[in-house]
Amino acid sequence: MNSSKKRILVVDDEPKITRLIRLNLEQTGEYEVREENRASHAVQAARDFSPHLILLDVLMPGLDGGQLASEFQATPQFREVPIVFLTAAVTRDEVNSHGGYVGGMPFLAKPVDIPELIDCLRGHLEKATAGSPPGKPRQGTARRPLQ
Amino acid sequence: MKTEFLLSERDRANAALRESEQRYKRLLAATTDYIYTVDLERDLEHQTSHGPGCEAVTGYSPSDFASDPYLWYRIIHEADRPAVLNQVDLILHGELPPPIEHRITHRDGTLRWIRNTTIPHRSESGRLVAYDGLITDITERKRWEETLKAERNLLRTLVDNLPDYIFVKDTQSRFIMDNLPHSRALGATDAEAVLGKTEGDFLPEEEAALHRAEEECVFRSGRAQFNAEESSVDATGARRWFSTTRVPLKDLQGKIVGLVGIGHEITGLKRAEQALRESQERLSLVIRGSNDGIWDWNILTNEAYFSPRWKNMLGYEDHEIENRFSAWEELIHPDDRELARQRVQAYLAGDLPTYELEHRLRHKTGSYRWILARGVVLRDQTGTPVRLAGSHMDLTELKSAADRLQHANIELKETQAHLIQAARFESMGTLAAGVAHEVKNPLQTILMGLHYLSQKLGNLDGDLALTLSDMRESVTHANTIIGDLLTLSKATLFQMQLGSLNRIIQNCLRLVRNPLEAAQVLVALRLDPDLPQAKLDESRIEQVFLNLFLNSIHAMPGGGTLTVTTRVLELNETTIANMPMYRAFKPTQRLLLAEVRDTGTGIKEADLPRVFDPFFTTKPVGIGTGLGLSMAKMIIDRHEGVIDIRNASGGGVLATIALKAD
Repeated sequence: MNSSKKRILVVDDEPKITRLIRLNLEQTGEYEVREENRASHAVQAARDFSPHLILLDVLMPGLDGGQLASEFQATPQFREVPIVFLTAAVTRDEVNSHGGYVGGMPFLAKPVDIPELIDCLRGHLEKATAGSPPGKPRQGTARRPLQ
Repeated sequence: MKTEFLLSERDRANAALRESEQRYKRLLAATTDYIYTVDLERDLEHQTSHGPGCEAVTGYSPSDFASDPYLWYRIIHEADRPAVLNQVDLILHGELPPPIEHRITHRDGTLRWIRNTTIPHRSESGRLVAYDGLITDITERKRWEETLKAERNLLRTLVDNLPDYIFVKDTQSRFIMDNLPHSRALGATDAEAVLGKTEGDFLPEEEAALHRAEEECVFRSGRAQFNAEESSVDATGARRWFSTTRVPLKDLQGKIVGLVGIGHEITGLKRAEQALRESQERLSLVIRGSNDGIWDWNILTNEAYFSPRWKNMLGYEDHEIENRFSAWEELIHPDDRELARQRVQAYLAGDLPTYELEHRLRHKTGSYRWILARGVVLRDQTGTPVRLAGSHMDLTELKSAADRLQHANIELKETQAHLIQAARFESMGTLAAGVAHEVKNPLQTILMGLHYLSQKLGNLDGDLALTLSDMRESVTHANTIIGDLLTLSKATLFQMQLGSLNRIIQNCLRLVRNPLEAAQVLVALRLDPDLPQAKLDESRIEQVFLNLFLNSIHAMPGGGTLTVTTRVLELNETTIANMPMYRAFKPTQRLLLAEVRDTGTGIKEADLPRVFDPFFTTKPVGIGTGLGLSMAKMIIDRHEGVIDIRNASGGGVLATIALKAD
């Protein structure tokens, strides 16, 4: 594990997505990416990987992204870890019209271009390292982002 | 002396006898026309002498009769001779026969009637020695008698053969005379059987008493009673009606001795009257029940009759409209007059089987009522129309109801169209939500794959770079479609607040500044500076105007003018009637209107009804998603407004958005 790289845990039930995110992020040389395609294994994967940021899909079989985010928030180890949702359930316009947050959580609408993704990740990682707890929900507790 | 005395006694007696005979002759001469005397000898006719008056009666002189003993017998009418001989035979046998009347032939050949009374002369011993025949000319009387008899006969014939009942009664109401029809009506076989009887012998007591009372009234008052209507029940139980006139019958001194009755049966008339009355009542009921007005036009005189209901239908009292044809002409709507004239003419000419016309007549208030006129013609024997009569039915409410129904139908169709569109949106929304998720992930994969490849491949030559760029653009376009679909499916996410339509329009125009300049489209802004704010979702309304502006720009590839107007519209009934797009609003609604007009190519009329359908587009493939106007409509619908797209009168398209001002 290279300590200079930011560790990103990508949780999405679609392996093609997680792989291409990994490939693209790792290609920058700034990130180390762990893929997890089973939501139920995500917390354990995080424990193993200790990510600086978690990129979460929302609609997944079994646990959805909202529930998973709540679990992370409930786990002290990850309470400070920023979570970014990457989902097909919202449109870019909706996300933009709400300043990148939906229900208090940062959102990216699929399909997102890699530069935009990297900008977003970078922004939240910077916030976290600047003292502000990374990934802390604005409203204190994580909520299910979309009903 | 004694002899002398006796002689003188005899002479005196003879003298007295002669005197007596002279007196007798004179007396007879005064009462008869003449006398003939037949002297007998041994009971046989010996000599006949005719008195001086015989010539006037027979045309023959006494000497004619003296010279011809059989003259008398010959002039007696052949048919009467047996009666004359019989009379002679009786007197010769000592009897005193009654006078006989017989005919004789006058010397001039005419027939004369004479009355012949024989008076015997007897000797002191009682033997018949002669007889006188007293002749009276009764020709004139006979003629009167014949005339009278003929007249009586005529009267009787008339009386018996007239269909009317004719009877004469005495003051005790007993029949003195009755004609056959009346006798039969009473149940008698002939008129004779009725004489001397009263109606009580034939009719029910009550009925007879009634008639008796009427007759008493005539006897008491001395005045005739004309056409008294009386009824009775006949043997079959059927009631029969009679009209009877009773006239008092007076003798020569003016004393009432009875009455003459003339009657006839009027049962048929009564029944006809009753039927007519019932028919009229029925007609009256039907007319009242139907609430129709009745009219009757005399084509020959132009006189007309309009029933009170006819006039009342137009708000007039009966006396306020004259019963003449011109009254109708004055009331008919000018636009209907020619049609009515043609319809009447066609019907009267036989070109139309019925006369029916819907037309308008002016009400007293000045408004017009819709009237259904129906009529039927009456023609004379030559087939010339003489009358046209019929009814008027007020169709105004019916028409109004029909209009409301039509309006309701239109609204229903519009609602159905909206529902269908909504259902389409909803199903599309549901689909979109599913599709979006399923498609976005592959798009994400492709997009990231492209990025990865381009990074991996480094600096690429033109074609490779172009290919990757095209693929990226395609992904972006596909994503735009997905985005629009999702917008449609997430109609609940509206944030309504007061906002300025003018500001939104100006923002949007800024956003499309580049395409406007590229297409050399000029913008004419006519925004109402006092336009009130409206409750709206600004970002959604922005989407709407962006769509409209981009559509306009695409419709003017060679340049043109985009005119954007805002204004306030106060709705009223007339505006709604003229502009069906505003039917969704109340007539008092205040609207904010935004009109976007271009000078472009316009829309084919056939395409206009489909412009709001999802995926309908007239643009070339790759330009637009076919969801722009669907989305716009959905957004405006959510604002409870209306959007209307039509070709502008001077060319190009006029899009109008109407939002409630408050």
